[in-house]
Amino acid sequence: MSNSNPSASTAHGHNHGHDHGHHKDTFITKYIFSQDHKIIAKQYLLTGMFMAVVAALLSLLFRFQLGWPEDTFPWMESILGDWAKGGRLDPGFYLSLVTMHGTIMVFFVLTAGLTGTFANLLIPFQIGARDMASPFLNMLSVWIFLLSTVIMLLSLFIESGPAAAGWTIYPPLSALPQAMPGSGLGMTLWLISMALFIASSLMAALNYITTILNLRTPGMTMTRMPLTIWSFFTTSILGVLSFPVLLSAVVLLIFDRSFGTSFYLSEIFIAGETLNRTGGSPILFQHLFWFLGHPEVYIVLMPALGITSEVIATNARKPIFGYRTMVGSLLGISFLSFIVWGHHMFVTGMNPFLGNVFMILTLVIAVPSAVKTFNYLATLWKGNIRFTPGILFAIGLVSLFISGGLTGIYLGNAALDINLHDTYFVVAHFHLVMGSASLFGMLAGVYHWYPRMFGRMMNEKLGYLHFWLTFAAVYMVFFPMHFMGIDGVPRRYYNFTGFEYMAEWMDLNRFISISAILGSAAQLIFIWNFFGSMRWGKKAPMNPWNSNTIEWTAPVEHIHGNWPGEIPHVHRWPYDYSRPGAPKDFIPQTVKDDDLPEELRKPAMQPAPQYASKEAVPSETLLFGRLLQVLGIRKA
Amino acid sequence: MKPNRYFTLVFRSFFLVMVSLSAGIFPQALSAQPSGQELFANNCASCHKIDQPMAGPALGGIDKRRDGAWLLKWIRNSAAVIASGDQYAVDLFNQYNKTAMPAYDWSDEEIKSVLAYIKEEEIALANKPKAADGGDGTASLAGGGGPTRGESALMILALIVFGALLLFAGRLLSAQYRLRGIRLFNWNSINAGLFVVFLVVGMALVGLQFARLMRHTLPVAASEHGVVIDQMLVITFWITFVVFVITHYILFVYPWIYRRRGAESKALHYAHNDRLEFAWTIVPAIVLTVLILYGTKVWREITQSEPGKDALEIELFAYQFGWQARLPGSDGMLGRHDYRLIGATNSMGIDPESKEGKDDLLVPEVYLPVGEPVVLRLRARDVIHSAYLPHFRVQMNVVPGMPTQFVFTPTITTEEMREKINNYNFNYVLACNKICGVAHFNMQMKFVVVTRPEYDQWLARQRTYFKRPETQTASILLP
Repeated sequence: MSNSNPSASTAHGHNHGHDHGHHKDTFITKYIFSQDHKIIAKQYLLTGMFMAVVAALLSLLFRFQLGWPEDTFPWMESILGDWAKGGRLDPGFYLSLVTMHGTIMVFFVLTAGLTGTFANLLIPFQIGARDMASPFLNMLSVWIFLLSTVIMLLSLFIESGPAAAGWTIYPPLSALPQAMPGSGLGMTLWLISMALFIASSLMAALNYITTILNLRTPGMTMTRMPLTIWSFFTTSILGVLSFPVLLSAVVLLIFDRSFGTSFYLSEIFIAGETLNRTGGSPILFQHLFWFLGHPEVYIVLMPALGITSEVIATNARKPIFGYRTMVGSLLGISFLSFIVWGHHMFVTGMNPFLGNVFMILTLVIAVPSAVKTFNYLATLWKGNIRFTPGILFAIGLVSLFISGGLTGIYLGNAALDINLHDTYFVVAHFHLVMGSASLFGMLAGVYHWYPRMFGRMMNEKLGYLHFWLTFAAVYMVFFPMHFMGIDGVPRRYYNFTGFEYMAEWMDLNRFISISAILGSAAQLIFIWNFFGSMRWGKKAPMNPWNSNTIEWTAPVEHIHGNWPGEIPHVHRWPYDYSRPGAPKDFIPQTVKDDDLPEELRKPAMQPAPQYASKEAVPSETLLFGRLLQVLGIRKA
Repeated sequence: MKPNRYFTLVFRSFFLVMVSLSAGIFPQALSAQPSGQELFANNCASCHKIDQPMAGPALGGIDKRRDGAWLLKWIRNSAAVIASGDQYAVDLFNQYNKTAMPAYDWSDEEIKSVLAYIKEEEIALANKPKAADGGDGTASLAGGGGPTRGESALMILALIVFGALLLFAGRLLSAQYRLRGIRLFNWNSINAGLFVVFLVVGMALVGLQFARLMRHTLPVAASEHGVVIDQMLVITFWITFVVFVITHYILFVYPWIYRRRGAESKALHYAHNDRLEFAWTIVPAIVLTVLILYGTKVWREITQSEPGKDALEIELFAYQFGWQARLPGSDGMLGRHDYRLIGATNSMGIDPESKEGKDDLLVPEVYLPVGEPVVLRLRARDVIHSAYLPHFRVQMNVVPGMPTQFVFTPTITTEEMREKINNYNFNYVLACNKICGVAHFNMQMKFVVVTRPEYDQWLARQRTYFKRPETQTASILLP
């Protein structure tokens, strides 16, 4: 049931009209400790962008090492001091760099930065609510997130080094400070930061679910919600169910590190002494970690997919193809993501029978992902595509999702995983399918909703340049890594010069490093565009993309409570684009049936196309249309 | 001479000639005693380089820093030297993050040969012509005297100025055109067209990578299950590659065909089609099912079959940062071990009271007889490592407190593989493939596959884990 008057749940009682002279905002309450979802979204976005820059710089440091393993870099010593004695990166610090790069990217940029920004911005706006169900909890979640960010960044400056056992921090390496320097204070701070991060994520996820279920404006049924909202909904459910398991893994690890327990430890001799810890199993940690870890990658990916659906539909002027199937896929992926975690553990020494089980379940989860891809392609078919930077990144996402997803088929096969596990093949796979795809989703979202966030338009040409440079760079960096993986080159290696069969990849590593440097440099275009447009961008109209969703019916200048007067009611689904016979090529959700001629009133989920005139349709000679004709779905 | 004596003489001479020749061609396969270089490569290289510190200090010039007697004590039992309060030792230990150096129970000759090798390498490095680099030591991308810092800064500045000028000129120009109502560029078509260009260039580059890089990937699998895995890889590749090409064709060509062409172009309002959805759900499902059923079959065969009674057992013991290998000896059984027995003189924690352990062999490199099943028994001392033998398509994590194993049958000898890939320096190698600490990248051990007779010869020369001074001297002689 929807409720547009959440007076009981907000601190300000927003069921009255919106000249908000009833309370005064100080600078602190308006911009710092704000409870307004729009400000909180920007806080998440700016923090996420900052952390992305940090993580990118960390990756450049280790790419320098990998690209030029025999050279020294004096500038590295002036920045890193003892961590780059004589201009050469310390091998232990190298592991810290890859660990922190992974941790920051996966959690701080692509979970908090992506979901935090867009769920906060779009949920109230797109479902027609004044704000989140609990603005106070929302503020708490962003501030705890900020605290966890500070602690994680602080850990970079610890004398014994930041956490260095990989973002997956398997014990005993991460449990024993004597196993590596980074497993000292750096690891402790990592754990504290992550515990806070998990708390923040849980609070946020609860808020999103509650808001979506309870605060939809009249007429906004679940099946009239834009796919972005569906994706935030399923993402939040995944988060609520899986993050606590990571928290339990973290807590048990803290116990093993600080309180002498043996959850993960047994029969260890290290640093010259026999440890008095028995009975535990390192595999327990891996199960607990990956129970979150697998849903986590879908938490990272699904919001990006939701954004892609919205951006492609709006810019191709077509309904997203197969709305119900898209929702079904989101739900299917969500459910299945809980039962495939063992595919990260095929060669851990767990009972190999489990390998059979997880292999089969992993195969199943590939199917809804494939369906989503085909639906995106079908959405582009016979569209009327307007290329904004947003849809460029959305199409780029689909490409990366295909490329990365297909290599998942190799890795999901346990027998193939024997030789590919922990090699560069895995690095290529997840950077394409999750890292870059979600980053592209985030960028698509920023370009698309920038007018909604800042009331200005970003510079389009700079956006085009940014996209093409980044898209090329991503493929140049990660595609060649597949070959290294097939050659058995392990990941997390400081250099390859010790093994003859690996040393032949030195030239390619130089190429990859140069591509990475150029790709990172290209992001400066975006940063310039992002901040510059706030000041110098053209003022945005209310609905610059001629979109159907209702966030574009709110005034450009933000007001507390989003809409002056009543919240708009919704009468149709959000994908009535290019309805034949309609005066414009879009029919916003707020348009009532009474205002439309008969044929446009029926819900638009009709299978057969009704042309206003045949000439409007380009003649079909290409594969897709032919296939439809062949399948008898379309008249030849 | 009687005919059979004659033949015997010929065969014996022939045999002797061949043995000595082989010793020349394959010095490593039939070497009598591990040389200083081999000892260094197998034991020291994971943590030490000659000219730069790594997990442990740089060893160049070690003979000037410490005298021979100290070095003998240190290498044999560094923990004891530290415990004795030797200030140099304690400082060194703290400086290198308290990373313990394992104890090496080597003879005087062996230690001397390692030190001699270090000296050789130190001299060789000092005499190497200085690597090309810019006058102030900056790395050069071009590989031969790159730009100095000043030059780099100037180039970047020039680029920025040039870029700014371009931008300024661009805005001037476009303002002019806009004033006159002329649209210079159709950005929509440009972006749409760029997708097609990206498709063509991209696919060409993909093809180029396959053409140039596949030759650097692993050679034919050297194990029975490995060839099955490789077949499955190829099949999976072709299926996924076809999907990759077709979907990318559609994804990058549609933007061009269906770009907005002007005010009159319209999209087709086509919201769903259940039959189509069903089709493209069921087809991937069937293809994937076939692939995975095949995969489960192969996986089951590899991991869930019991090694036969005659399988050769080899224990691989992983520690920070190296491997030790133990063979069961003539009784065919590995001795009992207990982690509480691990110490400076008993690195693998084998129980000296265990009678099965008395004849266990400690080998510096692992030899395998071709065509015979092997079961690797895996044990770790401190953190999770992973036994990765990519040429055999073998990988299994090595977990402290949880023994693991991997069964396989090598099918190609080292000699044969060297022929196949035309590389006479090739050796099979064991690498660590699970992040395990600062020297994770340098934990290796050589594996050699030989014929049965060669294996027996090698086996006879190996020494037991527990040194038996009455039957074995430090140096190892050909029988």
